[in-house]
Amino acid sequence: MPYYIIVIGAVATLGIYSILYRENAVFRLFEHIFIGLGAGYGFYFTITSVLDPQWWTPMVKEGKWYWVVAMLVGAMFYLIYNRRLVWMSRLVMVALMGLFAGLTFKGFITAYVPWILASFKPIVLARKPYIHITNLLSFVTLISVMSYFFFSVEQRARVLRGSAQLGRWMAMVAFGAIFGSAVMGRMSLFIDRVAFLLFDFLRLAK
Amino acid sequence: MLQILHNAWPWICKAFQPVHGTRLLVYVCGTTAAWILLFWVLHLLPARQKRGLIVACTFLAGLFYSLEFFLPAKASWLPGGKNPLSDLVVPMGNAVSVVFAFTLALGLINLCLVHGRSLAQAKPGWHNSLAFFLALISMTVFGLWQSYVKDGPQRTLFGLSGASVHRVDDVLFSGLFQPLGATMFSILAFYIASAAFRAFRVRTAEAAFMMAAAFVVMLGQVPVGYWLTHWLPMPEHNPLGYLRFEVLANWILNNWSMAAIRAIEFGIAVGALAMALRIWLSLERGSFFEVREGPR
Amino acid sequence: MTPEAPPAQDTRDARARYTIFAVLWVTVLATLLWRPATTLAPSPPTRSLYDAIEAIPREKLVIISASWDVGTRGENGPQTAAIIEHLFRTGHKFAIFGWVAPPGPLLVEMIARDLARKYHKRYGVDWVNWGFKTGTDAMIMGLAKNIPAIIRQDMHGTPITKLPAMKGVKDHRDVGMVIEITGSGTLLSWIQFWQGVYGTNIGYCPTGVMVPDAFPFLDAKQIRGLLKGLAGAAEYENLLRTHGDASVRMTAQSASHLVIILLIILGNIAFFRRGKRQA
Repeated sequence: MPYYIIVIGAVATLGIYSILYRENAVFRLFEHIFIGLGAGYGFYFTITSVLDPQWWTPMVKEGKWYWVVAMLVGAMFYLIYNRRLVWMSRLVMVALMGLFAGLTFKGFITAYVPWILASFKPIVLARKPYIHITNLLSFVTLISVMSYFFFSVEQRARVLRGSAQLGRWMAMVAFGAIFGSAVMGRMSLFIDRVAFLLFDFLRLAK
Repeated sequence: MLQILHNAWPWICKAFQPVHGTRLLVYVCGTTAAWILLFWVLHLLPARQKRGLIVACTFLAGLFYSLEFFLPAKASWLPGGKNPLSDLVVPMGNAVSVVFAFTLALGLINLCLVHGRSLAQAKPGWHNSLAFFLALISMTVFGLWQSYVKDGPQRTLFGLSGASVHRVDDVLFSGLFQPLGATMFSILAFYIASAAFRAFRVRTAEAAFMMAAAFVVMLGQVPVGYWLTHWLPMPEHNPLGYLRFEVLANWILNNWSMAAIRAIEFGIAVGALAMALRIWLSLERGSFFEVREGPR
Repeated sequence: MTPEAPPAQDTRDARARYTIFAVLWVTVLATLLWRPATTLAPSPPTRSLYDAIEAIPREKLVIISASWDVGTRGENGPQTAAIIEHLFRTGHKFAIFGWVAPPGPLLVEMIARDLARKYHKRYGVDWVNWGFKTGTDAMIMGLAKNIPAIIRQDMHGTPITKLPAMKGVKDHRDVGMVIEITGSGTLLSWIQFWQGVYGTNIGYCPTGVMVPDAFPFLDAKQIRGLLKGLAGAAEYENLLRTHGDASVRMTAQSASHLVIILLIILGNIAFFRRGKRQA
């Protein structure tokens, strides 16, 4: 990559990091430039990658005239800006939501039924040690956490209340794991920027 | 009914044959005019019937993928002996892709309205809105030029040759867009660090339990965790090896945390299924799903 | 009229904040420059992904689903580089495909081009870029049944029927594996409409935040393997016997984790001491 592009990138990086000191005009400027670039990129890329090859070419070059309906349906979304005709935009939006709702049944069965099957693991073993501790722990965790999030009926029974209390503790491990992984993720992004400044911009040895 | 549809299918297909030239223009304009006429007529309906129309369209739309899944792939009682909806999955996927692409400008219009108003009324910070528009227009123009205009000595954009246009596009994408986006997200690291000092309070035993799990997972995935417990034997040789940070972290993620997250996700999935059913059957209430009588 | 001085508490908070930021900057800068040699032994999920890629039949195409944006480049970039390097070494053809974030395919192509020069691989013959398509689940479902009908041309406008790498690729049966590299929750669509229906192998390379959510899928064998963020990429580089960006950054990653742990401990000590003093 030419060095002047790296210099521009470094200036942009440091401009964004100026927010760490306090709110300032440089950060605001770069923030707005980023939003504009992102919007522009999404706009032109959707035209070149989707609308041109999948709509314009079939309709105009291949003569498949019925593709105009896709444009008309898409155009109806913009009627949300007109108070009189807003119901038409709701028609297409809710119809699309219904379309994807129909997909949910298939999605649920193909994605989550294997989880139900995978949850049944051997706890009692034929040979020593006679109890599989890990599988037992997984099973107890699964049941207790599910009982914690069971809000359909009031949890009056002592067994259910006890199970829910245990589920709270078990869920804490998952939340801790999520937090630990989140820290790892966020730090990686910062380290990437510092590496860019050190190795690409300042050209220090890698 | 299905048999009638099956018999009429070749005639329906003939009407959808590709056309070219003036015929194409007539078909496209005719379809557009028919569409506008249809919705002009539908607009005259009272609000209750409009709602009924929305309910019917939602149900039919949802029926497509539901039936495609629930009907068998092959059965003698199906038209043609196979599920007719399976052949429509690919065109439907294409059509949805194109319809989604047409909606891309919805967010863009909102952005342009907000920043346009700021610019027109010279509100404080109007220069930021100007920067937004310059960035938007330059990225769009240079990107489209690169994609559609083939390089040549006569081809220039604002006096810039093809190679220069490519350079400007590089500056916009690699010089500005990439670093800005990456840096924006990386600021979260500082907020996590600040929150770690000021907000994460271990007030209860449960919080302590959570923090312990977090510490193990944080250390178990980086070299310092390996180094801290490298003196412990491997778990295959000695059960003490399970206390090595990397082994413990993997065990927590693979078993304990996995089971808890699975339980949470089951609940979310069942909730999503119920929500999907409610949307499909139009049982949802709220201003978004209802049509009120408004000005004509 | 002289401006009022900020309250003492605000000044203390600001000072604490700047100190924390400075400590983080200095730690990461120092450890990126100092960098004692570290290795990261591959964890089972990483090794599973490596073995799964090795086991893909040579004639099958691999789809790299580039569902990441510039914001998660720090993690997904090294993951992508490691995966593509492995695919170039094994000689598997692959197709880059984006359907969530528009910049994804271009970002992955930039990485692929650099590595293609190193391994003398040719675009169109050894790898292709399908570009970006909208449509989410409906499009993914259609893609499984007929790839050329959904992907009519590559990112550069060439009809895919003209690309040698796409010869004979019609549907899910010609795909050996889908490797989802993502900064958002996009795995479910592949599981629901490819793996769950046709049994297609799925590999998963998420950012650190989404790693715990991936383990239920790994346990149910819905994904063949998993790279756990940047650490996973470093482990993969270890398996490939290379020393890429991920390996270079692991010392800094370690140090930053220690800083966070220290901050949590110090913050709680300060909190409890303040509580005792007030009592």
